[in-house]
Amino acid sequence: MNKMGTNLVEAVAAAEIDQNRRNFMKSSGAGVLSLSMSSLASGLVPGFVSEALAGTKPQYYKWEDIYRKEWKWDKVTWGSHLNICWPQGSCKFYVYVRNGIVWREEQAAQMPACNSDYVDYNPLGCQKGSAFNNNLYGDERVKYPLKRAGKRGEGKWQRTTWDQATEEIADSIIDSFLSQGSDGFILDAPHVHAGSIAWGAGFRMTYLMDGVCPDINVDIGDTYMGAFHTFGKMHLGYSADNLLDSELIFMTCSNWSYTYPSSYHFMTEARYKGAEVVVVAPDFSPTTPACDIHAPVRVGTDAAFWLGLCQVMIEEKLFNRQFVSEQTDLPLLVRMDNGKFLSAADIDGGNPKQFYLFDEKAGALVKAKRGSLKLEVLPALEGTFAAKFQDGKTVQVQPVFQRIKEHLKDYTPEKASAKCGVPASLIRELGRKVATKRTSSYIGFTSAKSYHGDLFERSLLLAMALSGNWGKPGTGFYCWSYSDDNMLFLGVLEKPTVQGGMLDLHNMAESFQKRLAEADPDATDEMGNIEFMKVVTGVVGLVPPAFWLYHHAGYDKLWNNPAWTDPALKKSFGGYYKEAVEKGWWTSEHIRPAPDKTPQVYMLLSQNPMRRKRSGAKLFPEVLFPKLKMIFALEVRMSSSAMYADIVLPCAWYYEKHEMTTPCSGNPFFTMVDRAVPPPGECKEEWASVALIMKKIGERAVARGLTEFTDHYGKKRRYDELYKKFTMDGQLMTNEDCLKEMVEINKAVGVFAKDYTYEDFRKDGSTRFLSLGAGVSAYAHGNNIDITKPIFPLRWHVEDKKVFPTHTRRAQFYFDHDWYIEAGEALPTHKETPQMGGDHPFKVTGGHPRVSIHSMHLTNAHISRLHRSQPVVHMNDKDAAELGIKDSEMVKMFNDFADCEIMARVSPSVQPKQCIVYFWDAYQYKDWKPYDIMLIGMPKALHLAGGYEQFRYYFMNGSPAPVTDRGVRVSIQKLASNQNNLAALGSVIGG
Amino acid sequence: MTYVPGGNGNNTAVLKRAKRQLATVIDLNKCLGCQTCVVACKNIWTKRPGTEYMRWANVTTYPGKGYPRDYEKKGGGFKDGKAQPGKIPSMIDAGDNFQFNHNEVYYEGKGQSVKFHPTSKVTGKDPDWGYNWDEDQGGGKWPNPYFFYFARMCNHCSNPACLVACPRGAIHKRENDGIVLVDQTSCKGYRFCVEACPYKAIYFNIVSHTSEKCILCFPRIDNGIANACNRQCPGRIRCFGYLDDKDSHVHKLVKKWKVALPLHGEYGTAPNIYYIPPMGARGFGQDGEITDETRIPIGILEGLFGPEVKRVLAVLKAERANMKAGRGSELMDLLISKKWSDRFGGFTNAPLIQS
Repeated sequence: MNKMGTNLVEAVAAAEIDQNRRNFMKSSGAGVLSLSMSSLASGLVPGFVSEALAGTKPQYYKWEDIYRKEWKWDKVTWGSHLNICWPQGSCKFYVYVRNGIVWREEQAAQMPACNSDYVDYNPLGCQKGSAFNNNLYGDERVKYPLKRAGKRGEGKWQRTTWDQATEEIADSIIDSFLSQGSDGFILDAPHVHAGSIAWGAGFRMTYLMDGVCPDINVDIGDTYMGAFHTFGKMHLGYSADNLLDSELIFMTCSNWSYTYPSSYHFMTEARYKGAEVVVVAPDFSPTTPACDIHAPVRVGTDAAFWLGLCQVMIEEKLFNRQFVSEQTDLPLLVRMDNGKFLSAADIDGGNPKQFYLFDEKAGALVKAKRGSLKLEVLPALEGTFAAKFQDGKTVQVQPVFQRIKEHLKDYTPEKASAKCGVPASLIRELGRKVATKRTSSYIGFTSAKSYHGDLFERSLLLAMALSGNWGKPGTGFYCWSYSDDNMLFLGVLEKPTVQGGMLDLHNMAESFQKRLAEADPDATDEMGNIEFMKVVTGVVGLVPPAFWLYHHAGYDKLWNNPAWTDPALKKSFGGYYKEAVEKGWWTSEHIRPAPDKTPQVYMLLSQNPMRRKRSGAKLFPEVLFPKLKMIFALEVRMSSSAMYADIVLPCAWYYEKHEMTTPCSGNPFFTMVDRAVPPPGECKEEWASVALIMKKIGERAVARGLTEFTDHYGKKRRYDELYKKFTMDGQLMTNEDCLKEMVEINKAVGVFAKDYTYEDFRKDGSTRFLSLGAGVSAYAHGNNIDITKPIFPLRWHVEDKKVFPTHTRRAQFYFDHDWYIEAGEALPTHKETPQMGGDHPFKVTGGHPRVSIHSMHLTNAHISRLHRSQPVVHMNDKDAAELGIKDSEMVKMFNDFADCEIMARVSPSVQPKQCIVYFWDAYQYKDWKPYDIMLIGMPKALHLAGGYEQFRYYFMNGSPAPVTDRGVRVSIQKLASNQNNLAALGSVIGG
Repeated sequence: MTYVPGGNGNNTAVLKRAKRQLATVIDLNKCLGCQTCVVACKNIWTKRPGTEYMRWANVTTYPGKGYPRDYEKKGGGFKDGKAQPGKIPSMIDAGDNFQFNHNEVYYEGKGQSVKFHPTSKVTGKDPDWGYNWDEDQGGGKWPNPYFFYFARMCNHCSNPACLVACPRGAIHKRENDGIVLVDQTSCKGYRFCVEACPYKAIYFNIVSHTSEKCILCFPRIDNGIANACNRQCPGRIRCFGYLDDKDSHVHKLVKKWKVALPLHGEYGTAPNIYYIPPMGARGFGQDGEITDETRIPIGILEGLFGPEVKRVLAVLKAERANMKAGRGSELMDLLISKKWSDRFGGFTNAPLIQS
């Protein structure tokens, strides 16, 4: 920062400023606003009139110093807000320190456009970031180690020391190993907002201890299963400026006004550039005022809307035949007798994964290439053909397209409209437009949190396939590509990158690719890398989160409730689960802690399941917590979950530790976070905190005469090696050590330039990434990064004809898996959301609030003063009137499982029979019964399916998400005793 | 009631006219209601004792009660050339200053029997109104609800009613940029200015007993740095600069293209914050099918920005069509401003120069 000549400018002593402030306030007290112009007019005028008329020119410029003195500081450093809003963040801020505290922050606004034809990213930074200094000093901050002195959740604490606290934690971990093996320790899905290094610390901890770490991305419902199953991968993102290349933009399952303020302008600017913006959402959401068209789908009916567009394109012959023939499975032939793809196993006893096309010109079956998407024949899309099998029988076959065409007869604009509520005229208009316009979509995570969200996505992607809308500028589906090698590999690195640590990992990955290529010459590097990632996932202890909740937290009873199950399914969730395990699709590698083990130690790392876990605020205290011998939280603030902990360890927050953000493609910048001020009280960096716990485990083991524990593979590990390995023999002791290592990792994988240094990063404060690294995400994205252009995905598939990592090696819209055929989901289709929660009239939606990321800012006084600062349910004005509910009144929400009290916010912008609740922390509700306890989080049973290339799990991808809540049924009624009716009090001051 | 006798209307010693005028253009088609301008301002200026309830920069949902609550019904402005009295907004109208019970919830051993909740600073009770209380509620009827976000601040009027109403001569316009300031050493806290301001953009500091208002971040302006609300806006909805600077976006939008309109020009204060009116989303017809018409009733917009609204919306539509057709448009390029720093009329220094 010295380069700019702005650091360490004139230092203003603390006392001086405080004195100025004291001078500024002449007196104190309220109730003085009773004077008014009219009261003064009669009585008080004469005295000051003479003064005013005396003609003395006021000393303007002297008094102005009162304000000028506010515009001062001691130093400025770089800051950002670590991955808290992962795809939307990495905003570069100046952090102003005055008198040893962070006084304010402001966007640096130095983010360049990719080239001068595009809009730049400035200023990049939102209201949460611009007010973050208030969080550092809010009353919610935890500053000292605390030990529970009452019952869990009671709020009785005693101060303890780091030494005592970590010793108790270490003993509890050793106890858990002795009684349950390493399955006894759970680090519950650490959120990346603790920081890139903190996240790496969590992974390194479970990696070395063989602990269990439920996968955060699946746990929070950020897995796009429809995209994952269609393309065999889901992290295929674009940069926000890619919207400027679009002619038509669909914003769906999202609400950028709340969730993407930093780059929202790209949407409005694309609109000025000539693009039309369509919001597909049940409500006239806060993003919709800035758009052209609102497509008001009923909750859970998005698939019908998209299939209506598909029907228009096919009916009116507007689809891109070349594109679907080449990129998708639409020309592949399906047997009419059993719904399976026609394969070489049928024809000549060959490869069961060798599928067929019908060459229209030759009038014959031809094998679809598995190693390339390049088309050598023009395949038939329509018709019924005869296939002669090796056993002599003849079976009728049809291209997938033909089946889709017939299927879509149920989705004419009028029929689709009846299903989804969007007028037929609009479906027709948009079907025609998407066919001819370069189209991008933004699918938000509401899709991933809808029971049939995979069907929404598959239907949307079908519309994009038919219109040829992927693999070129101005197309794509969301901003969710990332280069996270720095975080993940920090977890498993055995020696520093400069000593070849990353090279070892690279060689390991390559060996997987080589082995796979030997087994299948048509396989791609991407597929080999996925196999490598599966192994890394397992050794880090990452597991699909649904299973431990099912076995250990009481969710089996919720998810097996037949009344809440999709009526098209013949079995409960548990029934499918049993079958899947019997078939070997899920193993002891995934099902941890094992059903016969009992979790003992539960660690939270900036994670708040009491807010976030659907129905968790009920099931965790009732079912899970009583089993646990130790709950401890590494936290910066007193969350609802930390309230239930036995020990709370206070951590350093943003601006108080060396860190870096790890960006997604949306805002493609890594930003440096400097240690502007030391953390308050006894707060420590997470890395050092975990290191201390590891050290204590070693010490306690020695004291207890123990040397080894057994991991879940049955191998012995030494207690005394944990700390040594965690710190890489003392080389990774502090955040700054780790940050330097992360820079090296990023250099090694091509994310940073080879000659980039930590010092450069500190000086620049940010750097645009050059690639998506060497891991699965680079492959998933399917395109190179050209920093002079917007980022868009899947070009390798369209231009280079690279195959997809799916069962058919194509973007796949037909799943001939038995379960999907049986459930009626082999093709993208519309299904009503199961009646989760019971027979109640309202369907809930929700998501991120405007002024908080998750629960992070909800208890900050400053930011809470920007809104009602208490939980509200948004409901339609007519619905409210029918229930006798007025705005601001307290209401009861309930379903068959739970209930809560909440304030009504009434608006015509909410669709009738929809109700919206954004995030609030559990203790903001009466009895700490948050709305979230009604949500159940029913995972989709079909996502237990395996034995099919893309039905798989690895870190951040796949497996049933225990988070589906959109469309859960509730009732709302007026509360008998309305405690918020204070109208009579009115305002007591002024007017 | 007539103008207060002895108000400084006749006081030639008080500077009432500026040589040049700074202005802001706010594009309501781009505002996302994020409140960054609000926190940007508050962090610098209104965390001091006595100012906590003030939001010099504020954003509310329109239709709605606005900020301070019902400010449009509280009088002030000019009538027949005379400044008019009005009602002083209450602290609750101005958004209150909610207090919270962190310690009770966290540390007092009360468990689930207490919840974390706001308390009105004014009444000590559960609040029934506060800043931005009617956020996202808006107007219209399903399936044609509508609303837009409305960012406001002091208009630094060319003809400020507050200035005229101050009997102390404590309010003046700065000669070189037209910033309207309340001299904190002269102000006696009579609040004639609060009454006279039709936008209710002046607030009473309950500790210092003076009136305070937006100072357009003059310590920043004086160092060539755009004011905080304008510079920190993530939506890039704002342009800033001298109205007579022909190179500035504000000049081009207000004077050349004439697409930026003052709010309630009829109040007679000649405000210097200008708004690009919202185009709105297309509405559904009586038959439920999609139409080409905006769903925002034109009368609503004319009520805010006057009869020019129709013409402005037609210009926006035509220029957008030019972009769509590949013909290009200077106006759209201005509203997009590829280069962010171009928006600020030369006030482009990094915020790293102190007073």
